[in-house]
Amino acid sequence: MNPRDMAAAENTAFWNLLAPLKINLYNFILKSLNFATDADDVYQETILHGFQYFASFRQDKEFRAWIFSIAHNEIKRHFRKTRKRSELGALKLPLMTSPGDEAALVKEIYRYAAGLKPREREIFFLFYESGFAISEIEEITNLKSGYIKLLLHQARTNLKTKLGVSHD
Amino acid sequence: MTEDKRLDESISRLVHGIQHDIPPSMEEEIHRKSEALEPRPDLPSYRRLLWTLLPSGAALILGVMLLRQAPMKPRNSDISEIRTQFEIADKNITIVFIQKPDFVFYEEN
Repeated sequence: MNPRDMAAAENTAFWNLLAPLKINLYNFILKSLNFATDADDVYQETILHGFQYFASFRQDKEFRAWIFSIAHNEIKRHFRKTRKRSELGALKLPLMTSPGDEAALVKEIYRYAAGLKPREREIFFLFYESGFAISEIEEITNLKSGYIKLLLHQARTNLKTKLGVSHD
Repeated sequence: MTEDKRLDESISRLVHGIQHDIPPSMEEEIHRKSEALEPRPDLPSYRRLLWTLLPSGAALILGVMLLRQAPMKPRNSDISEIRTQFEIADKNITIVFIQKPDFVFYEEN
């Protein structure tokens, strides 16, 4: 196989690995940024960085955690750039897809998430939106598992009363 | 199933209550931009290069520092003379020996 064919095969491999994760990755970034319009730029940067550095992806690692760690870095970079701008505007909740009685609870969840600090909100959505385990979140964010557990515990405690979720 | 796990499932279900699709125009833009991109050297090899350059850089700085020190003349000693003083208090006599570089106590022939 000549170098050009190898590069083409590598590009195809990247898009194939990304395809089933795209929607989840996009929603994770969108929600971590409180549905800000900048989320589209952060998503683009994540994909393009992933594409450019795909050679550094080690096959023994999970692609999903790898691309989310790039997203994590891009989100961090975004908040560093926009620190002086106000981050929390009025929370607009678009596209309610839940049935009527759940819509209010969904709104409550997103209102809670909007009040979190950027890093906390990221952890919240890595766990509840993207379904990562604590050990995977640790790998993606380089944060200690104890801290991640604490944040999730706080989220549960807060949301339990807010949602009044019954477990019967 | 523990209470936490059930609560997690409820929260997760509610979080998924809002889902957005990726705008098709953005997908096209990403593909268009990616075609113009050159794949970069992988991150580990870039780091390896950095670790190779780091000791060389340190050695270079050390070398420059040493070279700057070399032409400097040795500093003269702050001691230009040695004084030895004796006081004989009851006779109000003070004997002072001053030793200077040109001082010669006695010469042997």
